[in-house]
Amino acid sequence: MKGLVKGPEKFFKQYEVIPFILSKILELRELEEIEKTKRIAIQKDIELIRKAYEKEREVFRRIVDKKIEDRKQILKNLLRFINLNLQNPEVLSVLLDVYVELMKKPVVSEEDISNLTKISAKKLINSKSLLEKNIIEL
Amino acid sequence: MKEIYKALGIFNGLDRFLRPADVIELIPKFIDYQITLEIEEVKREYINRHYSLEEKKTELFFEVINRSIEEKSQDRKKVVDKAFTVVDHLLMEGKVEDAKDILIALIENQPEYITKEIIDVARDTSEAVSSEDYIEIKPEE
Repeated sequence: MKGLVKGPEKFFKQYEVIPFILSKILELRELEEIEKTKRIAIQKDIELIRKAYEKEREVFRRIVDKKIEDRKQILKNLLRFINLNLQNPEVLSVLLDVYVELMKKPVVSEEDISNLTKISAKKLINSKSLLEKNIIEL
Repeated sequence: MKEIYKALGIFNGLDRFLRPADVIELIPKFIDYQITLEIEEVKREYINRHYSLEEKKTELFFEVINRSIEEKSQDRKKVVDKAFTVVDHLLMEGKVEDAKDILIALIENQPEYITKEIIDVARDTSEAVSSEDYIEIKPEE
């Protein structure tokens, strides 16, 4: 009988740490879940900013293309007029002056670049980062 | 208990090493864990919807900007064509200096594709659309 009583006592003593470990594992799992959510939010935040910057770059390229198109259109017309007035020194001189002015002006000026930077992908996401706005609030 | 083990990812038969008192002690913690799981699931759902909405807003913003660039570019082409037609007439009439003024003005006054107004319109458009959807996706309290 003694042996029977003593046996389980020994057994429980040996394994009494198990509930403690299990409760700690549960706590860790909880933290893991919270961290997982935060990671998802950070990842989504980064993805969104990256996409916004890509779109912003597309806009920049589009504007530069339009500026080049514009330059080509003016140049084409100007050269047509120069060609038509090769025998007319007075007109030719004026057209060449205009041509020089056109060549002096860069296709994309500093002012243009300053205008382009009015869009900032980061500023677009005006609902702030989800981490700041939602995760902490939730 | 099987649910607890399942949640913990612990092999079956662990109950052999637990006393009833231990099990009772673990139950509230297990409930807390289950609640956390549910809350985090709701948060993730909210995050997904929030970001898909933000993405839509961003796309719409750039759509408005790009449309505006296209419109301005078309307008500019028309202006350039008209200007050269006028220049043609002026040159035929011998008004060389007037023609020069027009051409110089044409070179100097290139369109500003991105202005504060355009950005404001694009932002307002994307915000207006999203604010309607936003009510729907707010998590229930």
